[in-house]
Amino acid sequence: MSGSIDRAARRLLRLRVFSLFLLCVLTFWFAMIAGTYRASNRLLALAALVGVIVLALDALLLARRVASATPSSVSTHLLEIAARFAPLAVLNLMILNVFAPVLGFVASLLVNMPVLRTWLTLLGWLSGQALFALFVLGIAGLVAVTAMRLLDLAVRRWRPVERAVTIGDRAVVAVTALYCALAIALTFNGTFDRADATEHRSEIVSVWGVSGTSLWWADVRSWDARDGLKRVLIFPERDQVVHTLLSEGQHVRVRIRSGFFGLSWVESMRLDFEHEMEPLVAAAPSAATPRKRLIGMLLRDGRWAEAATQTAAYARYHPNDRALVKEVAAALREARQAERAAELDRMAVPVSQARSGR
Amino acid sequence: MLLWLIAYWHLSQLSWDLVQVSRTGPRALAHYLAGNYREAARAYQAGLRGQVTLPYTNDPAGYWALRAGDLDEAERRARTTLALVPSALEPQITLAELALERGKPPEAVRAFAAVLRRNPDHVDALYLGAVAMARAGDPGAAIQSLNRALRAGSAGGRDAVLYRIMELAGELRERPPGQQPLCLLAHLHRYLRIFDERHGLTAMSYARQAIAAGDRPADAYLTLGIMHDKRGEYEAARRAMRQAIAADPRHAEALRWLAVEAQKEGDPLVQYQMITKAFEAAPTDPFYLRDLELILVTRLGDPLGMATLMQQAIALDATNAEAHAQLAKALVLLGDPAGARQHAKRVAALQGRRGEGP
Repeated sequence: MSGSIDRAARRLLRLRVFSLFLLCVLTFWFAMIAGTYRASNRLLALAALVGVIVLALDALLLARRVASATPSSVSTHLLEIAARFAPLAVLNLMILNVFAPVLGFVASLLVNMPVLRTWLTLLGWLSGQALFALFVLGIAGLVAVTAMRLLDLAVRRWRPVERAVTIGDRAVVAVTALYCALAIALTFNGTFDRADATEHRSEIVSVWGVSGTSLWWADVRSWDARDGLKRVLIFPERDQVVHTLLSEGQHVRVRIRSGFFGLSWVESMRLDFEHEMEPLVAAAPSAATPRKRLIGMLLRDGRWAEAATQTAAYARYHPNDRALVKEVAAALREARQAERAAELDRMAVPVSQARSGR
Repeated sequence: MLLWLIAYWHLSQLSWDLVQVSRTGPRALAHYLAGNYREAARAYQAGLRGQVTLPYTNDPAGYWALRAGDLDEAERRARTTLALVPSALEPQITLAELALERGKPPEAVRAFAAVLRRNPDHVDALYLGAVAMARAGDPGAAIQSLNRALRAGSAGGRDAVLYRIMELAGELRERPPGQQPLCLLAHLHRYLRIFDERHGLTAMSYARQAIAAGDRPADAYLTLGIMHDKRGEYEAARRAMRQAIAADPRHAEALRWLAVEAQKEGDPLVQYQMITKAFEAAPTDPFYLRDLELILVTRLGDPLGMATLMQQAIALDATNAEAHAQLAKALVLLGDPAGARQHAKRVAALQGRRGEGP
């Protein structure tokens, strides 16, 4: 069994271009995973950025291998077919693109044919997008392969360059392997973690990142070390914020998981406006929602007297909502605040019932 | 490939409205891309001209005749309709636009003002009125009119609006540097951004120049903030809006925009403070009442607060139908159906007087 795996691995390594392409895919995948199970450690939080850098190095190496590769007979045949049909596809796309305004105009006239209208509009728009992507890839590929051919020329002429390139080649593969190992550790640390998340309150110290990308971090005050910092890679889908919404001084709630290997990682980071509940209740005293939230917060923090006062104020503004008053009274009773609970109970009794009881 | 990419980069940001399928369309587009907005606008307008194909019955306002360049026919149609229905707004707008076309801006300003007295939020009248005011030498009034139109979230119904604003922007840009109305130019480019994203940067540049020159800094900061918001730069947008409020603490639109930004963040206190301040800055403007209802009643559960504010609005202007409608809704939630019915009747009476139906 191990012999056949070994043989397969050797065969794969002999396919120099394909093996590096696989390495690129793997690095990309691990960079994504490192972002998913984002560590809160200041250095490990940069794992996704490191992944992107490693991926760029791998892509350069791939371009070099493509530039110096001798295609097999099958690859040669496939390349010949592609070379024959690619200009035709590009030409068709260009023609479509030139006529895109006409397609758009025709689409705008087809008021009663929504399906055809949508398709025509899409066709005009997609032809441009597809051609743009093809040309960008083509130009980037051409530039990379040309640069690598030049490098190969230099390698053949000068020995120090040859040595540097060989070392660089091996270093890139080694760094990629190390990165993949780290990413696997982070993945296991997150996926096998069964501990519950703990929530910490903090404040953003700075927001920084690579503009034009989704690689942005928020440095927040540490909750376990004085003057320390925690670093959070911003994950818009999970945190429900984009980096442009964040700024220094904003309050956040960070949910932390302890991690299977003890490397704590960030489950989510949300903007926190709980500290605004009291001023909001003061500004809008008759508003039900903020006062209810404030009562909930006070009960959670064991501030029984304040919770009872706020509930009494709530009952004055919303005399028909007796359910909340009863709920708070029950919570107070459970917390052995019998006197305050009894006071609220009296407020919860309907006027007619109180009269009949006399 | 590179040339195609550059061309695509420039053209892909344009709206279809700027790619006109007509004899003069390519010339108009070329002028537009070269930044000759005045010539481009004239070429676009020339592209609309031709035979008047619609009979009077299908064009009672004379809009299509005006669009086709037959000014006399447009005037005849508009006046015929006004003789039959003196309260019709569209023929009045056609007559006002005709005055603009014939180079009589003061006459056009008066005609648009008459339309806006009847319907203060008529978007076409606001945009075209702004053009007339700018031509009559009143950039301040033009900016107010543009802001009021832009807040409706519509680019206008008549395609002439785009071309007239483009032509005006082109003319004002050609003035010597010291004589350019910078803040007005920022607003004109803010409008043009609806059709071409690149105008956002131009609008920001003019807004910064206007701030430096002290030309209506609050409005300039507002434009700067909105452009930041459209580019997804929310923190920068908030900063600019705050500066707009620092320059003019009663700038209702800047206050409303700060409430919008606070909603994106999820900040309930700032949202409440800003929308109530916007209402206090413009208590008779019905536009702010829907946002006020959304925040006070829907989000904060405060119908009592809403009813109090609506009573203030009605005390200032008893003909404010929207305030009566909002008060009726709040009273229903407060358990006062009789009071709600009374205000609903008042709404019906006010709408009947304005010729609006439910």
